[in-house]
Amino acid sequence: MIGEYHLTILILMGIWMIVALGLNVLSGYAGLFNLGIAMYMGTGAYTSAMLTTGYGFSFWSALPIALGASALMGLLAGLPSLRVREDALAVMSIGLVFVFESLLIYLPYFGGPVGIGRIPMPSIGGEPVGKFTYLLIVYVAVLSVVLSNARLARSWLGLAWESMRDDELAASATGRHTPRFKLYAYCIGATYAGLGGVLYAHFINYITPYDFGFLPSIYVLVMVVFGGLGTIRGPLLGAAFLTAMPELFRFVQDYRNLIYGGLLVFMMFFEPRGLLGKGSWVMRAIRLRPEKPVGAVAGKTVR
Amino acid sequence: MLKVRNLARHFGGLTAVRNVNLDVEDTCIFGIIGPNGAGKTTLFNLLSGIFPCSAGEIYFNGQQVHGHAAHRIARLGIGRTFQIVRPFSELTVMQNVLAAIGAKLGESLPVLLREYDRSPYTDAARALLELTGLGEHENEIAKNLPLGMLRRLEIARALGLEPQLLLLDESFSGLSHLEVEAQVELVRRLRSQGTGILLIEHNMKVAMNLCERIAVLDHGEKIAEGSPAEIVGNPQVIEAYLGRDYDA
Amino acid sequence: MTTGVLAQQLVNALSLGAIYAMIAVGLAMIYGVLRILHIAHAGIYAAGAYLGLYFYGLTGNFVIALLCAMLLAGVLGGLVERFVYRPMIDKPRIVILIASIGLFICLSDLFRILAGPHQLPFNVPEMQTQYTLAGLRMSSADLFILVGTATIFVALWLFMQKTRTGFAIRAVAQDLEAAKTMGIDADRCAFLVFVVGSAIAAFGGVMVGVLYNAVYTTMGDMIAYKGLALIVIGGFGSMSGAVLAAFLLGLTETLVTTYTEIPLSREGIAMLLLVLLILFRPQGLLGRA
Repeated sequence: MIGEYHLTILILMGIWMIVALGLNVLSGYAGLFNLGIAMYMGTGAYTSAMLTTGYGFSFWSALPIALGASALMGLLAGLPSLRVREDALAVMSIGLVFVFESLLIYLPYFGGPVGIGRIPMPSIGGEPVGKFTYLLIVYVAVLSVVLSNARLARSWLGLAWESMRDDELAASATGRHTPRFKLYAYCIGATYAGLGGVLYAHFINYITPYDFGFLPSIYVLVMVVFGGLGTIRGPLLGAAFLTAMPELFRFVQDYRNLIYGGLLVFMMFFEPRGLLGKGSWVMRAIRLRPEKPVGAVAGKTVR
Repeated sequence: MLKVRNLARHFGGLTAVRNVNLDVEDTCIFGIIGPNGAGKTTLFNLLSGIFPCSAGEIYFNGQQVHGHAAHRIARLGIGRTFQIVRPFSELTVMQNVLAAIGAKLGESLPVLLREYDRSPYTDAARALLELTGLGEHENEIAKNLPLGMLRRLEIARALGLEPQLLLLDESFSGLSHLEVEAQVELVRRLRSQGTGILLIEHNMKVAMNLCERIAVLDHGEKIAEGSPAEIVGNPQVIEAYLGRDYDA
Repeated sequence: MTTGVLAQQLVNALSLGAIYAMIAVGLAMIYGVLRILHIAHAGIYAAGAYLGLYFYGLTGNFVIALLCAMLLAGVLGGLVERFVYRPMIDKPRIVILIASIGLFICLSDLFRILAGPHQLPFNVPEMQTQYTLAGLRMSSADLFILVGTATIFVALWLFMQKTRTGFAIRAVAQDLEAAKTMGIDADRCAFLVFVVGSAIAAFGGVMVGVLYNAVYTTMGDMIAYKGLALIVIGGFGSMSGAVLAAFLLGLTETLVTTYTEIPLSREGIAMLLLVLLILFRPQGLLGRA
């Protein structure tokens, strides 16, 4: 069977896949630039952690509440962000994640800089689950997120998001009330990220405010951008690759930031769409998603 | 169909549009011409709700339009194209048109969660693409299209909302002779199908040929209105254009 | 609290504000000309501190070390503009922003690799002499900062207002296309702005290192985010706005942390101000929309 160590990596991969897909909804589909996705992850994580350690909730009963809290946080953070664009939006998202992290550190209610520990593993039938079962739980979650994401992409909501992303003014002129769609993106993206947060908290069993600040948000951004913003396969690849790399290769761990930073710059130079992004070099080489269909016979554009 | 009264728009100290009155009848091709900077596009932006009006009123089929947001006005039945094309660049031609068709369906959650790539919608989109001559290109990504096709795509997209009035902002500029002819045909066809057309145009030949009625703007005010023949002979109009040329 | 303490805090606030201003002014210039949020600027700032420390160790002369650091940092900034940003200038702005973040993360780690993860002392005896002026205690470092900042600002003002190149830069910042049709070399302006802005940031970095007697790999982190906050608060692209915002931030941070119990770190305060300002006055204090 799979060794303990590999189980850990796989679980972490699954968790980051979920968060990355959350960021993808916000920035990839809806085009809302966000450098603070970890704050929604943190909302889910802290809500579940506090409910299960302080108020006697079980993992399962805390889960919907944690997801609701994440969605609510998305809404709260999304509302002020409605008025701003581009650069101001990017900076706003940085500001918000910092304030979030700061409040977690300085308000004793949330455990302060030491965070919250002894977060229990979920229980099934009265028994806390083992790692392998947790892996299954995580990947059921990944599957749900992927399926719901795919559905969103094929829905009118997804189309509205993409039209808003490509040209917000034209989208308005085409009858879409764009603020509403932005809020949908914030809520749904935040919920996904919150789900990742819950799974993270109960796996690592110990969370601190620093787990959900600016730098973790950037790590998620690297994953999504590396893999391909705006696709489902992109964040999955990015999360898997960038989670496994430092775990499997010690030297990556030691030079993590250097490599991640360099990777970002490199990707922006040569393949800003991401490795598996639409029309990327890799995709064109595999000829799965050609930019220009050959001749007049062009199949349906499937996502 | 469209009544505009005393419309005005100021930007700080600058008055872009002042005291404009218009009556656009049903199923008529109405042209707006005037020298550069006359306020034509600003007028369109006011009509389509992209800018709020500083003063004045706009009524569409008896309903108040001024003060409403752009998306409301679009759903009320006023569609528009843009002087500098604004396609949904990463989406395909088909998706561009579907985006508008979808908007028509409304924004309740159950509707929003339905798949869009399905029969009644794609059929409707294809019909519009056929109408605008883009049938062969439905799967091309918008940003790869040449300008002529993009202009037609904008029209197809605007039609997705089933507008009663279509605002065409210089949709003939940048087109080759052949493309212009095709576009004129298209506009005439739309008009015969019952869509009202209000167009801004620099190309005099097109404007005179196509429009049944023309209003001339200069420095934000309407200085003349009438049939093409009346406009051509109007001394004020001539002065507005030539006077500009002399100063420049 | 007594007025004595208040006045003392004001001196600290002034010093802090001056440092922030050094960083913010470069950021604002760069944003003005290139419309880039140059997050990596903080990396140059930290590089300045490390370079200053290195040259001080090499020469034993503080002023020479400072000038060398500023010079090299300027070169570094110019290289970044020429080889990282300029090739990307036609790509979507998001791409450049991400590249800047990547560059910053890279630089910070580079310091760790080259100079070690530990905090290094930056001990300059001449900078530690204490003076008492009108009952206020200041070190020569504080004085140096204030005098240096004032000098730099005057020089910068003269440069921007009275020289042809300064005029060119302002023209590009106001309207790139118009400036180009006037024959202005926008690339050269961009290059210059990076060189000058980076040199000034290095001054800030060196002075912070000396003032707190510490140079460490993550010293740029908080500056990066605060720097962003400053150009937003000041008004994107407005140099005077950035400077004003810098001093306001220095003042707010000092007073709030001394006198109140708000559950926010100093960075949190900057960020909160940032968020509030974007909400209520998105064009910033002195910015044009």
